Amino acid sequence: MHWANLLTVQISQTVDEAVARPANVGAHQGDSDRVVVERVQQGDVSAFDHLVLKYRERLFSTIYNLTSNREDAADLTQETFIKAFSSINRFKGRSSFFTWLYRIGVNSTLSHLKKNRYRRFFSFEHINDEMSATEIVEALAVKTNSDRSALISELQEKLNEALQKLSPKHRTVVVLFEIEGLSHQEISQIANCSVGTVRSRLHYAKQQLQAYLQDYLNQ
Amino acid sequence: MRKRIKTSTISVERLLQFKRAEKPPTAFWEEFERELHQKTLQALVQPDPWYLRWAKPIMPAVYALIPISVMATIALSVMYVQDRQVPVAQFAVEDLPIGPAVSKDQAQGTAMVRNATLPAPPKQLSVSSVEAVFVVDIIGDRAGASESFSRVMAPQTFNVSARDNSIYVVDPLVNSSSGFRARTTPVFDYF
Repeated sequence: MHWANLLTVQISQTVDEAVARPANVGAHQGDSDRVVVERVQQGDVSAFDHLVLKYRERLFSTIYNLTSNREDAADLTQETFIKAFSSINRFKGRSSFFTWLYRIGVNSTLSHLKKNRYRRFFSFEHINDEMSATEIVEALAVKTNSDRSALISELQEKLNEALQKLSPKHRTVVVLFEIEGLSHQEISQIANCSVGTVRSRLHYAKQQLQAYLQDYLNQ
Repeated sequence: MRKRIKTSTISVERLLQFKRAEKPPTAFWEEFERELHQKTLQALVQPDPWYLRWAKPIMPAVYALIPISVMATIALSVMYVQDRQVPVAQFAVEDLPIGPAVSKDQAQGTAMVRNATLPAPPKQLSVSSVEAVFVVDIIGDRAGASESFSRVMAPQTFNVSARDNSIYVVDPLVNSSSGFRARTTPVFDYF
């Protein structure tokens, strides 16, 4: 096989990984987390840094997608880690540490959204360059007859608007399932509701999103 | 061809992939780490608010008192309900003194004389209240034989019937839909 072909294959794999639904990490990492959590509970404060490093990006991403504001998301992510650290001795291991941490983060975010429901400042994060090479961008560029970078910015704005039009509870389910790739079971534990409620909220939220994003869809 | 059709379909799920691709730059995480470290230290050294400082020493005692208070409330509630309960079933006619239940001397001036005929089947007389002191209206079958008096009795509804020119009190608890099958006790034999 020629080296150019190898390169092509490698690039396409990277792009596929970037857009594929993220693997469900919560269930597989419970055991390793438990060991680290036990170390923190026994007084090894530095072990908590390991948990921060491991989950900060995913937690930030979730909170950012719920608030659509980078500064708020950063503050809330930090607040979540501080809350988790200060109440780590109350963590009994009935759920995975990841689920427990997410529950703290989601609850803090929902409280923040409730308190600041009239304050809306959107900010956008950088989109991976790999994303602009995906088929969906190509398809959209052809459909809307627009430049790729302009299209991506516009789409980011529209997606943020559409997500913010959902109620916080519906938004939480969409973000955790479609963006973060959690299972219905994990979402039910985080949102403290039944799996049936999760499914029903997801179904309703998707219907709403379809209506808001009608211009981009061709089904 | 099938693949081409599939990939060109734009769904909500595929649009949301854009949100997944939004990532902050590396510099953001350096700042994030610094701020988190600072906030953690602040949280560690920040003193508790005054109410928590006051509450902390007494909280164990408060927690210990909660079950005691709950038990005391339940016990008081049970006692109250038992006091208020009317022990109807514990009183039967046989517990009432047989013989003249009341004489005209004991009537305490509450007599209300009626001239009426007691029909058959026996007419139920109502008791004026559920308190221990009752005013009982008795309607006799002989002219001038009616009486009304007050007496401390068990809180029941009394049935008065005519039998051989006598008036009987019948225990209502032993009545049945088929009619009176109860033992009757003449208590007003002064008629």
